[in-house]
Amino acid sequence: MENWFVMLPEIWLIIYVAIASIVNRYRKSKTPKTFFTLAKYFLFVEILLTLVFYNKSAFASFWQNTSFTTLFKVIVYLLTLGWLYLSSKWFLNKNHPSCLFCCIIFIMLTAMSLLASSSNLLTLLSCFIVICSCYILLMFQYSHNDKRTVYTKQYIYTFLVFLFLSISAIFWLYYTSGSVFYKDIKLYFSNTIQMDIYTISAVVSLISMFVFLLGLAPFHIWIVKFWENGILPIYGFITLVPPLLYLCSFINLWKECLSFAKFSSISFILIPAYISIILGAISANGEKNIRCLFGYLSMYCIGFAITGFANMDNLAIIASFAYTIIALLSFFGIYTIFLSFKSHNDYIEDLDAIKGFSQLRPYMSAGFIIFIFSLTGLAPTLGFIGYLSIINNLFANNAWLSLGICITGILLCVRICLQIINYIYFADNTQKYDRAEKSTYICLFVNMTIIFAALINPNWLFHYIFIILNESTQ
Amino acid sequence: MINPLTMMMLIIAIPFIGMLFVLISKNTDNNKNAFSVAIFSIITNISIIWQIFSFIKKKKVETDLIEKIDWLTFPNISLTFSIDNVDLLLILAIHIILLTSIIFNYAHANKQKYILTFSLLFLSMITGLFISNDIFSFFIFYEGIMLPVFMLIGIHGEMKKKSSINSFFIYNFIGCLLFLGTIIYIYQIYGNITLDKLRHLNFQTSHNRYIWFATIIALMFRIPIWPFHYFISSVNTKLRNSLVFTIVTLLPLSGLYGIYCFWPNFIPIEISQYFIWINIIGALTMLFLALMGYSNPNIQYRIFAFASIYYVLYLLGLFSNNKMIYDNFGYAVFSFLLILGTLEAISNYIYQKEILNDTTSQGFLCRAKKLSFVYSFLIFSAIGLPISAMFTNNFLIFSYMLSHNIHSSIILVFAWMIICGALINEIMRLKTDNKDCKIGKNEDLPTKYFMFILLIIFMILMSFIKPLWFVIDV
Repeated sequence: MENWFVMLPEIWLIIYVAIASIVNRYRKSKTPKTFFTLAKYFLFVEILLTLVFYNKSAFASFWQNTSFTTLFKVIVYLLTLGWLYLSSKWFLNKNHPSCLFCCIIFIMLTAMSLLASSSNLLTLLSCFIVICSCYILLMFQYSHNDKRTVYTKQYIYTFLVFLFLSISAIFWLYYTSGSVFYKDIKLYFSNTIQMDIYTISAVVSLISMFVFLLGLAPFHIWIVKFWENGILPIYGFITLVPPLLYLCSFINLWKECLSFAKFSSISFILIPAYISIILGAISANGEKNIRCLFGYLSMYCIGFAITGFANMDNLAIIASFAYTIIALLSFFGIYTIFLSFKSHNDYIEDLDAIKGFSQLRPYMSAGFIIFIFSLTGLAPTLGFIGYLSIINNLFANNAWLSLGICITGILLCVRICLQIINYIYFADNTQKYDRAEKSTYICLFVNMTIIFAALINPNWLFHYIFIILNESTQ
Repeated sequence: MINPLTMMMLIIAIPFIGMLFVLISKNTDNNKNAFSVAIFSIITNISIIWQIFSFIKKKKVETDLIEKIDWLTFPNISLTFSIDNVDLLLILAIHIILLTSIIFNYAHANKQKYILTFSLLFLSMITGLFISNDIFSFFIFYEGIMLPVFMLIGIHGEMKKKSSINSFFIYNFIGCLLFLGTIIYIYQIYGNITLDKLRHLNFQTSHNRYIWFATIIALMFRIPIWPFHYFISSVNTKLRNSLVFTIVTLLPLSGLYGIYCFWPNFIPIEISQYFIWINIIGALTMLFLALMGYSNPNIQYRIFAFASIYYVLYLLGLFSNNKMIYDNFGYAVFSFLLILGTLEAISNYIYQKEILNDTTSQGFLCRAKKLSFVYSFLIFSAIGLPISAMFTNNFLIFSYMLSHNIHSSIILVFAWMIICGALINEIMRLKTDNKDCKIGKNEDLPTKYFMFILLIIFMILMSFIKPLWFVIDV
């Protein structure tokens, strides 16, 4: 009974799905905003419950909550809260039903939460299946493209390949160690003098599951389809929210289970990270679609974050975490401004259509500059702190290859950002924009306040977070 | 007793707050609100600077004027700020010339709000640069200068090729990345060292030499000496707006000041024997710039050539490793900046009259007595007559060069003479009466502008006699 009580945070998310379904079925005066209002209250309670049960674990053999996982979950819930608040405006504007969208998001949150806390390979696999199923639903239901069936099928085939690889890996590890629990596997293989090729392949297969989930190159094609074809709320959610929990889960998996295979696991995650940095920056350079452009930049940022913590020591994880949070704040600000790229009730996606945006929206453009330059790491924006943390750590560990690739990526990223600023500030205005929602200004103001406060006194944002990370990663 | 940290933070914060007020000020035809806020911010800052001068004079102990702020935990970085007379003189000079440029530019520029916003941001950043006393705070403000400069060139530079602005930014950013690399390397070995302690570094070890060499190269990215001259000259020569021109011309000052700050107390013979090559390259660069300036009849080009030549001259002065030149650096650059900024403002005033009346300006000074007086004084100061502190520094540098390297110093003196000839040529042109000139004595400098320029002229003159004449006992 106590176990079920401790699982209240996860159950609470499922309860939302049930209540939303009931409201959708029986309430006659529902609007798209109804489900977002409901989601808002549920998320507030969810954050409280997560904090209350921060170090309580139910069915400890399947998943374990620690302050490390709780930290990531709380940030994810806050991001979801903010993004759902903004997404509600999209759904209201389009008068599109939002029940299914909200339910899928909450199911994903449940699965991702369990993924982050998992202490068992079967839990990992189950959450992977649920998350990918949610992606399939989102892709099929919310793509504005006639070829969505084709894209969904492609995604299913790719997912099945990785599912097969994961199942094979779990089977092999169970076969050799006799257990699917992280600690048992780690203990067994730590005592093994030499690993065979099958064990290394199993480790690599498990890591490839995360490479696929994170949308790192060369397995990023599916996420590109989301950027191109998904509606704006889906696009924002996919690029903002899940990567943080995937990273948390990966770090957890590595530390608790796969650390015995340090070289192969780190090499196999570093190679996609390197490719993602370079490919993300190069692809963004040639993009004319704003969403794809920032989608590739998000891929670049994830690659950068992974390069940062690849060493897997305390300071590396802290540096990478700082960078990720700052990048997320910047992206959140940029996506907030996307909602004001609206003309004749249509959301603009073409880069040429935002020429001279600063002449009509000077304050949003000023915010855009700050977020853009934060992504490049230009001092004195907040992004500089993130880049400094990672570069300093790479220097300290003599990771010259990683450093070289990161610097190349930064230079390519700078070029993209300058091009965008050219469009927004230096070109003449050719487009009329619809009036921006009040919520856009509110979110922008809150975001900018956090950024300025964190810049003047970073310890205000990071002090307790760093203490938690430092203690939990030792 | 006033806290020195408060005063130092105020002179950074006031232009920044002024920038925010300018940004939110009401849009009117002449943007009088924004103009008033900008002028008020700068004048307030000048009065605080004056107070700080008196405070320094009263304190007499340098350690009382160093303040430390704990900034980051991971990595462990504290920002240190300090101030002395040299820093204050340079900050004061920049405030005065920006005030002059804003006043003279007011009636002529469009998009006043943007130009004032980014000018105030630039002022805030460069003030922070001068009061920084540790490697990280120096770097943050050093890189932070680039953002307003880039935006000003892009919005107001009236440059047809946007790619050259992007190239200019990326070029400077590469220099900043190299600088960041050396900063982090220094941090790894010595921690967050202050600039005072950095000057005492021992050059017996090879890695200290590499650090110093890389730092100087990174800082020289901003100084128009071959091979670093291309990008700044490609941008500066095309700028039409005088305020933007003045601000961009101040960019090499950040590099020069950086070399001044990072210059070690002792340089071993193994390194100083290579300085002869810097002298040769510097002298040839000066000759090339002087010839380009002389051959181009455009006064703005000549002023750019004049500024670049003097930046290279002061760079050679620092490389001479002579204590007298080093001690006189602040006073010489103070008068140089006042002359440069005021000369540009007056030249632009004459140019605007030319445009307004659709006529030639040849012979204009025959009719405009006040303008003739101020213009003549500024030109004579610019060519190095003993009416400003520039004369003293020129004298010291030329005498050192002639005593150590006769060949390159002959080229150097020749280049200096050519640019003096170019400036005198310009004033002769304006003083040669021409019946085709339709500009009458009504277009002479207004009395209040004349009084303001007279005050600057007085400061230039007093820089030669007693630079700190305005400091009073509190």
